[in-house]
Amino acid sequence: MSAGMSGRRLMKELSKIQNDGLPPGIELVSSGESDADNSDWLLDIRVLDDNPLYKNQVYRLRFRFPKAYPIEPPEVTFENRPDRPIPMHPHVYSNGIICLDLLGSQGWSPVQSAQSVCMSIQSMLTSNNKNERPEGDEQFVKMNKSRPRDIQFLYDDNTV
Amino acid sequence: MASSQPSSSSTATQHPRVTIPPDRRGSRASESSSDDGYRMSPAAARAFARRNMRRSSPTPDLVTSLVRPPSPDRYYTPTSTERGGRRGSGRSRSQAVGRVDGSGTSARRTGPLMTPHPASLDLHAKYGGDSVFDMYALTYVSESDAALLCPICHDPLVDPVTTPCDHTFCYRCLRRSIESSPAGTACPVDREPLTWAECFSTGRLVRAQLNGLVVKCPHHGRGCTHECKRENIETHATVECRFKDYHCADPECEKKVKSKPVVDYCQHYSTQCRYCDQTIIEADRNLHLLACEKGKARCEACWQMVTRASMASHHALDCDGIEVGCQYADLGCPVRVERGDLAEHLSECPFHPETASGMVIRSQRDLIQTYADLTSQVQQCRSQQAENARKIEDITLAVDGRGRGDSSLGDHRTMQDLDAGFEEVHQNLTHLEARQSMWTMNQVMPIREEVTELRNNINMIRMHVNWLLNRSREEGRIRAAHNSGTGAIRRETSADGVSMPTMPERRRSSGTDTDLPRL
Repeated sequence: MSAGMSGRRLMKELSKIQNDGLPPGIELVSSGESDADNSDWLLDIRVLDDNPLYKNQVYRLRFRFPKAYPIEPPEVTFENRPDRPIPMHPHVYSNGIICLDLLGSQGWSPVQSAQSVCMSIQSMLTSNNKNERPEGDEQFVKMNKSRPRDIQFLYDDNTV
Repeated sequence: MASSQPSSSSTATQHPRVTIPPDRRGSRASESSSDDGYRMSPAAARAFARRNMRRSSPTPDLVTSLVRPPSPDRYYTPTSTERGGRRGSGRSRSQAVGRVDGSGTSARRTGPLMTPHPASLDLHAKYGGDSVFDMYALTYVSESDAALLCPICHDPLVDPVTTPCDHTFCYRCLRRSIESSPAGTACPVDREPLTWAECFSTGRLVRAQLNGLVVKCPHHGRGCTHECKRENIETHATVECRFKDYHCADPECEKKVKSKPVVDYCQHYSTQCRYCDQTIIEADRNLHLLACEKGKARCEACWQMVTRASMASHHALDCDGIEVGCQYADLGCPVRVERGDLAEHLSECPFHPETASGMVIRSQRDLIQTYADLTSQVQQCRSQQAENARKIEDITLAVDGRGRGDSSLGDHRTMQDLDAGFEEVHQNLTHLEARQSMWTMNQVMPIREEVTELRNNINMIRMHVNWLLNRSREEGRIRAAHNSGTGAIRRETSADGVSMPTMPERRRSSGTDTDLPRL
């Protein structure tokens, strides 16, 4: 039942992207169709304004959709590649895990889509001016084995 | 799902046409039927509203308000009187708990009123969900209007349900969203607090538009080219479509199966239902599961899976989504909440006996109760008295009827009876007497006549005897006188009687018989 739901919904999102395109600064790299066992989506995002932290840089986002998507939130992480760094942000760990309430089960809403999540992350980067990692980043990156969906974040910052 | 009554039209007719302030509407409705509103002129309605305004003053008469079911609006004024549409955004959870029914525009919704399509109930495959026709998996021929798409599944809405904040979702999508949301319930779009019971089925216009969307037959992958309106597709796909059945996986078996076989052997063997132990055909397992008494079905109110057989008791006892009355309803609390919210309401119920207001209410109620008790006692006494009076009367009558009592009344009665008896006897006697005298008279009269006649005869005989004596005396004298000259006289005598000389004695003793004819 739920399995069909995420597939159908993703198909819808994909066809919408193909028809209407994505907002500026967001590009769809792969929608998981090319290889069957990997249904992850890869998207590239850029920050549009002249924020010196992110100027002229492109970041890659990996979307992993659970079967119950969109009832359950997707797992969204930054991917580290030679030409795709992890952006500096007080809520982005250096392993690419994003601490954003929107992506937690508390803040997620089923009306969100991959596109809207990208836009949220884009604006999260845009509004940031701190060139720093989250508190305890090194330790977190070293210790963390669990998947982003299982981490209990404490959303304490309302400025982003 | 296409042909049921919409919820909105049925509620709309209940509102009176006259304009009465919305917060007064409930108290109005409690006193007169809503039909009166249609007959009221605007002026009369205003006067009516004013009167009610005065009646429900800030200090309502507690006793009367308890005797009559109080208007809920006196206790709970809705935060937003805005009609329909969005509610006040500051509406907190506790206010939602204090909802009351029948209060005009803030009338409590009791969840979507329309029966959802079985597919909306999201049955798991192990309870037969696979054999439900899936309205959510249809392929639409053309791109629909974006306004008709569910924000969650991005497909045209199925069984649309609208939230109090005026967002519309598929029944199943919203249910899943509410179910999975750990932070309580909120509208997926604007995160307004939301309970399922407050949502309602979307209006007929939207549903008509949705039902008119053209869809492909679900068997189009197998060659069916049929396209029709969405409301008709289920009939087509389950009844008419010639592609609806699949061949059994076993080439030897000629029977059909309803869904694409997932195993490569024949499904037409007998097996047992895993819930009720009934013997079923494996191929029909899903159909059986949809009706199996021991299988589970979805409770529409609380979205739990409940065994079909215990659904009624679940609704009566357990279901958190069912609306129940406050347990102090007998004290006058008008609130009805879902069972799940009852504890929260009870903690703040003004009728709770341990709050200040509750104590006042309780003492008032005790007074009323005492008064009622006394009244009923008085009535009881009165009826008993009447009963006793009636009994006494009965007894008196019975005594009179028996009539042989020692009382003066009885004596009087006896005397009268005796008098009457005497009278009767007397009459009878008189009668008898008369008859007897008459009879005597009748008997005596002939005797008297006879006596008279006899007496006459005797007199006659006496006369004869006298005459005869005289004659015989005369004869004797003559004979004596004519003793010598008897020949002549003898001749004369022998001429009178032939045997005269032979029977003189006889003549003297009984001569009357022989002589009478001569007289």
